[in-house]
Amino acid sequence: MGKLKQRIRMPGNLFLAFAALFAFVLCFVVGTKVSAEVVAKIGKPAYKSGSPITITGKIQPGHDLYVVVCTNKLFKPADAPGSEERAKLTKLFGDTAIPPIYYLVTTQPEKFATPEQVYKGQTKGPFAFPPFKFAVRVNKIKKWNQIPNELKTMLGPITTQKQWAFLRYTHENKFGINTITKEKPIGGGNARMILTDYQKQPEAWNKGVHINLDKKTGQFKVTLTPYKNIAPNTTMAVYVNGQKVGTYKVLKAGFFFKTANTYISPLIVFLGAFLIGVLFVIMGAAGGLFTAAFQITVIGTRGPIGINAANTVKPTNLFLTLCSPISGLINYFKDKRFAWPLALFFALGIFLGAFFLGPTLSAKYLPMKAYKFYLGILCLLIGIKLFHESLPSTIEKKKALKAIVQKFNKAIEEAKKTGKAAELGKVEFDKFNLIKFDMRFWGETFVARPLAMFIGGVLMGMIAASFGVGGGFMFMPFMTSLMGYPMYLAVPIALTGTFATSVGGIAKYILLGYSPDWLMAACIAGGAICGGMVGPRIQKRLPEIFLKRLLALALIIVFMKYTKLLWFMR
Amino acid sequence: MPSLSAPITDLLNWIWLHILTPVALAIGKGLEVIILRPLSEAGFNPFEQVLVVGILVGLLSMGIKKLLRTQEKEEAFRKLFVKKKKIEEGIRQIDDWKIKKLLYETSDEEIDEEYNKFISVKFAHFGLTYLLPIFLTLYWLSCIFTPEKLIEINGSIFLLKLPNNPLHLHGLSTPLTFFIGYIGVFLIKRIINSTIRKTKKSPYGDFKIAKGNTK
Repeated sequence: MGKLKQRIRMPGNLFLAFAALFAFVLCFVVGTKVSAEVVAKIGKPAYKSGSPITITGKIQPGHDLYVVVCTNKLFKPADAPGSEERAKLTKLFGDTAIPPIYYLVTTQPEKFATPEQVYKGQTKGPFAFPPFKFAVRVNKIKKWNQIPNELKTMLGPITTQKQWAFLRYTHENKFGINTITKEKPIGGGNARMILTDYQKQPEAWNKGVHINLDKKTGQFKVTLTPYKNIAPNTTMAVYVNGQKVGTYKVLKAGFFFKTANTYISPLIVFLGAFLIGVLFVIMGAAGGLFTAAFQITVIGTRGPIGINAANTVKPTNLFLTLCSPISGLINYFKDKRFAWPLALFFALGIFLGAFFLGPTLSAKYLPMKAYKFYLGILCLLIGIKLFHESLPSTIEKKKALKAIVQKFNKAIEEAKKTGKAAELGKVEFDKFNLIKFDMRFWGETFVARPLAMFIGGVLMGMIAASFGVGGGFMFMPFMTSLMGYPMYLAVPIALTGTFATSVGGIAKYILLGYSPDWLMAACIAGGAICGGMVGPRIQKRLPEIFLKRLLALALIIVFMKYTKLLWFMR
Repeated sequence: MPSLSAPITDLLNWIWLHILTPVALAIGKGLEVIILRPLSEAGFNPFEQVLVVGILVGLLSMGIKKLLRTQEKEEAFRKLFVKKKKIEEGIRQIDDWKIKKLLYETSDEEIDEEYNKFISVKFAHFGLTYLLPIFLTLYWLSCIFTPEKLIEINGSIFLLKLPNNPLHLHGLSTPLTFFIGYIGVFLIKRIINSTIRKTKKSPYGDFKIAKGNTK
């Protein structure tokens, strides 16, 4: 009692100090009511990429749950390594920074998004009609001003209208998805962002999302599986009802290709490329198309954050197309089989088209969505061509053409023996004219049209470099059908064209800041080399016509998949 | 399907991560010690180091080309081709058209087969000589000169910053610098070879005099 009396009799200023401290603590507790009432725990300090994560904890009883899982490091347009992407994103969003990967798991999804049916696929342009334009169910993200103000504090690092608009763009716009978010949309719609329990809202994007919230006690458990190709060692942040509750590390799930931005065993890439090498030898064409489709569909190349996926696929592909033309080219040159007035103008046009137009236009106007669509159309055309080549009448015609080429080759051999090659291989003409002139070459007279070759070269170089393919499939029909040149004259010129496409395209892509995934290119080159060696040895044992038809079918399936022709392929 | 392919993927991942990666890492480290460290100690900056690597890989490609004897194999194929063609000419002299057709088709198929083999070997040689050394070296360089490291050293992701230019080229990246060195070696070799050839033609060792003499 005596001690208590002593306490009561404490000096007045000390009492005031205690009162002030009490008031301060009370104010602090009231001011941070939400944060003080959130207790949450991330299941593990590190998760393997693509595996489900669990967050458990307690929020204020009676409240709803808002869990944000996102990358800890923010991305702003200036960080984009691709020059075209940097320019486009800076123009649209300035210096706004957002997490490239962002999920909001909530018991109140309707406050942030509305499930609805929208048109996707080719919504504009020459193919904007069904089935290329199709209806798909998406979780349409609401605009910033449609979200209740009290919920705007629940969005973790997102606090402004600009950030929200940027997030909507990276989840609803195909360019945004393929450049920043990278997660493949479900059913050809939007990338996942606003999620809820699958039982509550059984929509495709909610698959694998579980929320258990006891509103009476505030106890909760959330499970979701973030994007499977998050780079190893990425730090992910978790926010519960607006409060940052911790972070976790992403562990690698197999081998990660840094530039391609995907997990895949390099040995699978090697084996796939081996198969392509075998096919390339058997088919003798379309190697570039097969490699591009392989990179997109099998490997799943996404490109680094800030580079559109297509701008990683194209330069890798162009490097690989360098392989076939160069060695043949040297031999034709040595054999004096170059009709240089044609080859020069054609190659110059292709180089200019591939350097100045193709990559720049492609980086700007041919992002992954359009790239895949038009690549699909090319696959259809080549598929039809392959099927046509497997018909008996075409095989007979090809034999006749082969005989002509062989006859020409024999003439060259004889000419070389007698020392006449240099003389016959000399290009002769009386008067040069840019439009049209007569040219003598290997004992024959041809009509040379340098300007037409140049213009055709610019156009085809632009198209080939845009798609990151060699372009041989265009060059040959152009020269034999449109220009009317024989095969033995057209083949060396076409090879020059393929070489010019590769050199011009590669140079420009590198200057624009787009780089191939070097290790992936090495794996593809290694596999293709082995496949190319095995191909001729097994070719005779394989039914060629059946194989050609099978490949034609495969190309048509790729066409259907890339143009999203059938609903189950979207 | 994923459950079926999972064991295969796991096995391939294991082979890659536990067998091939340690070997590749050891090679990478070894190359760093042998090539880059001495260059760095000699005062070469990253741009010069990559340029030297490009030159060395160019020389390596030339070495591989010699080792694979590509030119000799091409010559051997040409000889074989001519020989087969002569056989075909002999076949043409046969009177019996049935035998002639059969033999001709067989010979033609043989030529096709040889040609296919030759092309595939040539393709493989080309890949081994040029593509694989280029791709693997650029991958190795991209692991060493990461954008973060370059920003730390140069203050930019480029090896060498360039002033404003009409090409809008802000600087020389690692691949671009590498290719300058790599292609440079081949150009220099070509210039040396053509100079030697021209010098050999002349009895006086002077091209101009030789040209005059031949005329």
